[in-house]
Amino acid sequence: MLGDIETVLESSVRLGHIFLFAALGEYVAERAGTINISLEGMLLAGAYGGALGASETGSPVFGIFAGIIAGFLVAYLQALLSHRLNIDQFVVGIALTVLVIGLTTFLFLEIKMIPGRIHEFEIPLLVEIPLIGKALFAQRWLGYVAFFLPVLIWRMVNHTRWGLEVRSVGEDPAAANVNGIPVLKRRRQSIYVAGLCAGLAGAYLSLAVTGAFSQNMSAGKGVVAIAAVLFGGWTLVGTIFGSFLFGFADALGLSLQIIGLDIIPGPILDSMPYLLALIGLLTIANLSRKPAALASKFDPSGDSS
Amino acid sequence: MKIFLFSEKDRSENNFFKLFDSAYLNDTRKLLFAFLVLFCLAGGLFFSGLLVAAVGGSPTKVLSSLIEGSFQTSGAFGRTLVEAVPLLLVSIGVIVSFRAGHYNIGTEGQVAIGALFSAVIALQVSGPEWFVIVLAILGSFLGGAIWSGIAVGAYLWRRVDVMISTLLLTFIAPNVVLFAVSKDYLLLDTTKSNTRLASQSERVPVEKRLPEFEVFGQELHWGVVVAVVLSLLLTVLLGKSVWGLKVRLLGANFVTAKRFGVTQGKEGATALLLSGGFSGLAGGMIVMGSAFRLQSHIANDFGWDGLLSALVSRLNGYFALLSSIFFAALRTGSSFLAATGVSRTITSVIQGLMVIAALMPAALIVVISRSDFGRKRFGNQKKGEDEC
Amino acid sequence: MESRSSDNVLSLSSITKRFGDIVACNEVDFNVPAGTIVGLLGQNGAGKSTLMNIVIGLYQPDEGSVYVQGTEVKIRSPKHAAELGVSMVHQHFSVIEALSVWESVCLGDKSTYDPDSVKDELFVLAEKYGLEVDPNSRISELTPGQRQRVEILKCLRRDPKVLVLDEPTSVLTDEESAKLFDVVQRVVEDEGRAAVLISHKLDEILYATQHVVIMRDGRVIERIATEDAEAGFLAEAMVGRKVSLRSSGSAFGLTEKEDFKLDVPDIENTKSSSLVLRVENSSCVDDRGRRLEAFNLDAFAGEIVGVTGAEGNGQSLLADVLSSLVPLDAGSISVDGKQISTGVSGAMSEAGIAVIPEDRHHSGCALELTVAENLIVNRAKQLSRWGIIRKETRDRFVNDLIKKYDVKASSVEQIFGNLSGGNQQKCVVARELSASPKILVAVQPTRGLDVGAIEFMIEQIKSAADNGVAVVLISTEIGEVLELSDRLIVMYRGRNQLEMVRKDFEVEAIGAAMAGESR
Repeated sequence: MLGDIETVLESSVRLGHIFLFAALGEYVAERAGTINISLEGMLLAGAYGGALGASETGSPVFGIFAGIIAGFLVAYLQALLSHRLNIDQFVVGIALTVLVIGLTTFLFLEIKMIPGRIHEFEIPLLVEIPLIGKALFAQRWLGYVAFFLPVLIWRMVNHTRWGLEVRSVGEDPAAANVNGIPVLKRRRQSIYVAGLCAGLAGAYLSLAVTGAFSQNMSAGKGVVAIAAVLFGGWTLVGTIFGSFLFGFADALGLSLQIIGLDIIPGPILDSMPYLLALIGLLTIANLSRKPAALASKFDPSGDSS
Repeated sequence: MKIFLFSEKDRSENNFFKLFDSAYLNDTRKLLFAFLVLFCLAGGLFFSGLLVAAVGGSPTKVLSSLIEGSFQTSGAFGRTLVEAVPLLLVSIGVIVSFRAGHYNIGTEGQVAIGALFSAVIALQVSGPEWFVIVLAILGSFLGGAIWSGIAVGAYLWRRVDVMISTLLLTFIAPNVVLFAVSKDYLLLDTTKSNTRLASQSERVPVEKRLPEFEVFGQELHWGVVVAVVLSLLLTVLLGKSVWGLKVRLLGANFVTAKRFGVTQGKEGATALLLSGGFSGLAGGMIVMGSAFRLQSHIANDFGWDGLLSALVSRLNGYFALLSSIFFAALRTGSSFLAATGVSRTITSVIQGLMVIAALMPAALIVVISRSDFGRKRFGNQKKGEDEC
Repeated sequence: MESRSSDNVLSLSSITKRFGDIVACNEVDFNVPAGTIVGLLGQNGAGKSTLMNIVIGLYQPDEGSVYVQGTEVKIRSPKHAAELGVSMVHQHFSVIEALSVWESVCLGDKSTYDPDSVKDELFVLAEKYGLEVDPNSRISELTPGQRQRVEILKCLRRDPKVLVLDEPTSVLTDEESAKLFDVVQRVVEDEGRAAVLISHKLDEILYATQHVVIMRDGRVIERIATEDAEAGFLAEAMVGRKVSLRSSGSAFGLTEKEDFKLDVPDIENTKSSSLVLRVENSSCVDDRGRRLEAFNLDAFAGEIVGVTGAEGNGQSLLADVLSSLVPLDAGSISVDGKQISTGVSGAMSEAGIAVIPEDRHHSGCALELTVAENLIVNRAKQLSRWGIIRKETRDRFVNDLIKKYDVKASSVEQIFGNLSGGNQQKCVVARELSASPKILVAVQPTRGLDVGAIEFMIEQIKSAADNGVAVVLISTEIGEVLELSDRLIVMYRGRNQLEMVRKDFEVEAIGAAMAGESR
């Protein structure tokens, strides 16, 4: 039984990381007032890019970079279309996600890949801690980024001028503009951050979790990551908590089926993260704390009179 | 004097249509816009061709096999039309919800639930065949509406974003269907033919399927007629009825709408339920008209493709007729691609590119109006846009 | 003084700025000598805000040049303006509610990010000018006066050569205003800076400035040394026509505190017609912090009731309640003696309350729909059969309205957003009045309109009243209210501060009531 719990925790952390990386990026983007449905596309692009990069160079490190770049490319298109060319950001998000799904599916069949998997790295002593030791300190090495990335994002958003400007843009773009903050530029930059993070999440998915790419392997993980940000009430701690909660739900579903406990039917377990995200949004999430200008448009050429 | 697109600062929440609707342009520029639309769609196809060439295929061969598979071979056009039925129904539903200012993008899930409802009714209700067929089709509408109804409830109760909730529900739906078809006390096919107990339902008996008919040598079923009639009806209602005006007013400016008695709870919810219902109907058509049995992946991307077809039609019900046939042609044509050596999944790339292409005219207009030429020609846009 | 000598810290020469075919600024010359405060006076839409937006780099002039300390410059952005020594204190606060004071103050800086030094600087500045405020508190927790302090501190921290104050007192009490001007005077005189005070309040201009420049319709009409200026003269130059001395004084907030007399109006005597609208003991608070507190208002058929007060004292909330956008927490609203449920979509409109909203884009129209659709949204049912809108009936109705109200539209199918602002406003008026309402609520009806459009609007309001509609005119333009109203109510913090009938209109009392004084 204890071993089972350990297994569940281990895979919770592993799967939670995917949500976490993507959600951290989306957190920054939403603080700037943007919502990116294309996060799903960025994640999938990251997964494909990661697998392709690792397979072509034979080095997972290059794979990770390739994944991050792939995520960034999608983010760049999203930012360009929605926050330079004024196309509705949701529609752009849908379109890009679909394009990425199509493109990766197509290329996956055209180009053969053997990416290999990122190595496991145990931190001595700490790994001996009962219950959580293995989950936290016997990860594939990319997983340890999860210890640093939240701190980095936190520093960026709350302790830099850039972060201050991003927050101001998300709260009151008109006032920010009056203060000389380039509103759309900050929004685009925040989307780039989302792309880099989601690309990392994707690379982690294909290189550390599964070790291979498969068609549409993100399967809504990007959407759950967005839900994690909403669920966390646009706070960093809430976002992290949400990510691991959904990761836990995902892991529980998988583990219970492996263990063979069929009190709860499999299909319901498979729905767990999505169901939990929905229930979370309905109950705990504090939707009133959202950035005041979330999902609003800003037209700098608008005449204020 | 006033410049198209940016003549007035728009403070309404949702200015999606402003950039998406050619009606927003004044008459003299409509032609330019129509040209841009065609140009961009052609551009989308061109890029698809480039991609084919890049992986070593022949673009012309791919194109000709696509056309052959979807229109030219015997009965192909009929198959394409049958495929277009669910796409069209989903598209019309999406158009209604988007026009009401709600992004129902969980159509894939609603299709699956609609299919589930129709399968349950078709397989388990006994009675006169026509009665069961009608009931199953109505049931599929109800199923889709219920699935989107969850999102409506979440929105009205806690203002949970419809886009997020419908998406989440989309990932739950196939599991619900899978559950239904994997339990013998529900829909699991327990007949001898299903020896390996694959997760699927029994086949819908022939007499309970949508009746077929033949025109010009093409096999069609009555769903084609139903779908076209319903789509035209809804498009006309949306454009010309009091209800349609209210729905579009809600989408254009919900504050103004509230002043005149139009609310999210009434018109907004109706639009979303209708949207879900139409997606559900699409699911019913799939089960009753072409698949004849329920499987977990019954929706088979019809929900997504219908959504995309709506976007490519630029949220115009009449154009949706064309774009859904186009998307259907990609589906039927793709089976003929094997001979060209290019994977049939190229069609999903083409779909994505076409959606991007449908967005581009609006973007190009922004580019033009910001260029020196546009500024001179169309009035003074603020300089230094690029710094923003 | 008018020469372009290097004494002028800031100098504008033949500035022209157009928006479409509206000329917002027409060959404007404007000089600010060192060590002085220059008043820039004008009504809404006179072009003063546009001019100042050019000065701080939000707009680029189409023609003309800008000189800072004698050197010609092109001001590219607010950041650039600040580098050149031009800083603005905005009418609508440029501080962001969700941020803290120190964050707001350093927003837009370019230097390295150092919270501690910002806080230290703030502390020093606050000490120096007597503007205490806690650097760590959130802006949303501050009162309007404190927010204004943050704005000033933010401005002074950049060590500006020229301060531009845009309607800085619109949300301040008298006491707070006086304190503000003391600080500005000190800054200008003792430290050799200069300031521009944009205002339409004559008393402020007379109190605080050395020179006055008056703008009207995009042009400079008058420049004069403040000591030679007289209130009546300034008012006339600003409005562009003779105005009665009494209303000219009051129109622009001239308040002399002596001779104060408060009249209790006797409504029953002035009006014998029937009571149409009764707002009784109404209270509510909305999420933006606007509030009504036990507010009362009666409107009789055929009269115009003016509701005025400094901006942000509950007028816009009252308008929203009467547009059925916001529910009341307590109290009631009745039309013809029948109570109307508040906050229920469409209820007010159904009961016969027409509204010309303050911001038509927010609650008056739908830009994406056609002109015809916008004109019929309140009567679509009457024009339809079996739920389908009948095209001929609709077009006849719409064309009649377009003709009657002289709307310039290429066709009834034109997209509403493509109409010019004036024509959009006409459409809104046409729609609202065509429903033969019992009550017309007009909120800031002339704001942002050009002269012709203003006249049209005033005519419509008057003729509505003549036709027996009870008109509620909600406006911060006191001149407008005094000119049109049979009765007026001054709101202060959501309460009835003062009520007066036309024969008793007393400028001083109104001014005092707007500042929250009552005796």
